[in-house]
Amino acid sequence: MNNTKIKIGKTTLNFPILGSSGCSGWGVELQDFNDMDFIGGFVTKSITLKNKIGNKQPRIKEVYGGLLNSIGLENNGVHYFVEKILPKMKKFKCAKFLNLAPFSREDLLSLIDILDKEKGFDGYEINISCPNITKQNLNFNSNLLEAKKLLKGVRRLTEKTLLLKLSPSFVESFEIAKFAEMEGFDGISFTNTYIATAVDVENRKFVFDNIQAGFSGPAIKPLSLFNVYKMTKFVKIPVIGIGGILNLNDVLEYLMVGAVGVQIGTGLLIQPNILEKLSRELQDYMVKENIGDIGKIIGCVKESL
Amino acid sequence: MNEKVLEKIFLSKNIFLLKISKSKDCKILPGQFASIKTPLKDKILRRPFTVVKDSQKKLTFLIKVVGDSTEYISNLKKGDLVDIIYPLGKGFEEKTDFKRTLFIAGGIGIAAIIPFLRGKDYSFIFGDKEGEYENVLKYFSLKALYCHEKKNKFKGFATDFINRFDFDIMIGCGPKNMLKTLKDYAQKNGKKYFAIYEEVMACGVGLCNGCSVKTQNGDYIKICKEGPILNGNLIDYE
Ligand SMILES: Cc1cc2nc3c(=O)[nH]c(=O)nc-3n(C[C@H](O)[C@H](O)[C@H](O)COP(=O)(O)OP(=O)(O)OC[C@H]3O[C@@H](n4cnc5c(N)ncnc54)[C@H](O)[C@@H]3O)c2cc1C
Ligand SMILES: Cc1cc2nc3c(=O)[nH]c(=O)nc-3n(C[C@H](O)[C@H](O)[C@H](O)COP(=O)(O)O)c2cc1C
Ligand code: FES
Repeated sequence: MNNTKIKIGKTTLNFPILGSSGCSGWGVELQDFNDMDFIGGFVTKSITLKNKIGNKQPRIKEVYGGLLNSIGLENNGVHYFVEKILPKMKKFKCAKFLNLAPFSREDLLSLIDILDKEKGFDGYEINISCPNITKQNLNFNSNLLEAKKLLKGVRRLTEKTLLLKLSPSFVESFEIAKFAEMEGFDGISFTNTYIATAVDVENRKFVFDNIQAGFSGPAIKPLSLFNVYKMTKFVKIPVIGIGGILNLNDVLEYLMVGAVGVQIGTGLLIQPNILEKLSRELQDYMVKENIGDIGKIIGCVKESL
Repeated sequence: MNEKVLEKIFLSKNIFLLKISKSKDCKILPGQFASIKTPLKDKILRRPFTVVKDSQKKLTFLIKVVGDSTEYISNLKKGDLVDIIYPLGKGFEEKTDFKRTLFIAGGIGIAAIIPFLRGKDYSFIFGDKEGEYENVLKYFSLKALYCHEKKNKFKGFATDFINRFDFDIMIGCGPKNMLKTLKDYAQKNGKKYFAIYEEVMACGVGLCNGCSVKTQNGDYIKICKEGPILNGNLIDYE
C-alpha cells in the first residue's frame, strides 16, 4: 500500500491536500462533493472573537488568471461557531483546522481560551495575513515586532496543532515564520493572497470599497511556489504550500520544492470536488510511479544538474 | 459533472435557449439554478444560470450573451459536453396563492420567473428595454403586460404598471434598481415581496461568502445557499 499520510504537529493527514480557509466554508459544504474520508482535511473560514459583518459588495472580481476578493472575514463570531457550527463539523474524520483571525493579542488569547475547551477538531491556523482587514489584522504581518508581541507564549495555551498563516506581500513573513518556529509552532501555511487592486475605468473609482483586495488563483502559482520553496529553506517546521493549485501537477510541484502538504482555495471554488479528485489522482500517480511513501516526493527537487 | 448539449435555439440576436441532457435524478424547483464552467482560460469561475424548464431527462436554460462565458456557451453545438453542477440554491417552497401574485421581470430576469408561470391564471409584467424578448414570450406562450422603455403600447418601466393589478404578493427578478423600486412599493402598500436576487458568484455552493447580500438586520446572507429567492422587503439594496 502506498503511503500518502503526512504528519503536522500532532495531526496525521491521510492525504497531503487540504481545502484552504475562506474557500472551504465550514467544511460541511464540502460533503456534497467530496468523500470526506478521502480528503486530507480542511481549514475553516476565519473565526473572529466577535460577530463580523464583512465587506460591501462587490466582493469578487474575476481578473486574468484568477480573482480578487474582498470578503472581509464575514462570520458570526466564536460563540456562534461553538454552538451552531462545530457540532456539525465534528463528525468528519479528516483533519480539521480552525482559522483564527485575531484583531489584538487579547482577541487571540480569548479565542484559544474559548475553543480549547471544545473537542472535535485538530488545531488552529492563526491568520495574520487577511488583506482585507489592514489595520487590525494585516498589521501583525507587516511588522515583526507586532507579530512577536502577538504570538509570544501562545504555544503554552494549547496542546493542539498550531499553524501560522502568512502573507506573501511582506518580506517580514520569513522572520515571523522563524519566530513562530522558535516559539514551538507546528507549521507555516504559506501563502495567503497577494495584496492587489483593480480600477473601474468607466466610473473612475476602485472596484472595491476597501481599495485593496486579495489576489488568488492560477496566476499566483509560480510566485507562491517560489515563496514556499524559500520558506522551506528558512524554517525546519513543515510548510503547507498554498497558491493557484488547480491540478495534480501543481500539487506535485509544491511537494517537490519541500512543502509537506498543500491547501487549495480558488481551485476548490471552481471545482468543489477537487480535494477528493486530486487525492485519488495522487494515489494513482504513486502507484504508477512506484513511489511507496509520499516522503519520497517531498523536497525531492534537484537543485543542481 | 458533464452533460450533453441536445439543442440550441436562438430566439433573438443575443438570446438563446440551451437544452442539455439531465442524468441526475432530481426535481428542480422554481428559483434553483445550475453553474456552468467553460474551458476559457481567462474566465475561470463558473457561471450561474436559472433552470427555466426541468423535465425528466432534459434541462432548459434561457441565456443572454453579455460577455465571454455566455458567448462561449452560445457557440456550443449539439453533442458538446457541458461541465455543470445542479441543482443549486433553495427552490421556492413557500405556500403561495399564485392567483393573488404579481410577477414582474426585467430583461433576462424573465428566466427566473418563467418556471412560476403555469396555466393561464397569472399576472405578469415584463419590461424589455431593447425589445429583444418578443420571441421568448411567444416560445413559452406567456401572457404578459409587455412594456418597453421607448416604443410599444406600454411605454415605460415594468414598475410603472403595478397599479393596474390587484394582488397581495409580488415576485420579481431583474436589475437591482427594479428590485429596489419594488421594495419601496411593497413597503408603502404592505405587500409581501419575494426578490430573485442575482449577485456575482465565485463558487455557487456556499464555500466563499462571495455572493452575500446585506439585509436590513445588518447581517449578510449567501444568495447561492439561502437564495436566490429572498424576502425582498428585508434586503438592503446598497
Ligand atoms: C442565480 C443567478 C441566475 C442567473 N440566471 C441567468 C439566466 O438564466 N440567464 C442568463 O442569461 N443569465 C443569468 N444570470 C447571469 C449570468 O450568470 C451572467 O450573465 C454571466 O455570469 C455572465 O458571464 P460572462 O462571462 O458572459 O460575462 P462577464 O464577462 O463575466 O460579464 C459581462 C457583464 O455581465 C455582468 N454580469 C456578470 N455576472 C453577472 C451576474 N451574476 N449577474 C448579473 N450580471 C452579471 C457583468 O457585470 C458585466 O457587465 C444569473 C445569475 C445569477 C447569480
Ligand atoms: C474568496 C476567498 C476567501 C478567502 N478567505 C480567507 C480567509 O477567510 N482566511 C484566510 O486565511 N485565507 C482566506 N483566503 C485565502 C486562501 O485561503 C488562499 O490562501 C489563497 O486564496 C491562495 O490560494 P489559491 O490560489 O488556491 O486560492 C481566501 C481566498 C479567497 C479566494
Ligand atoms: S458564491 Fe460562494 S458562497 Fe455563494
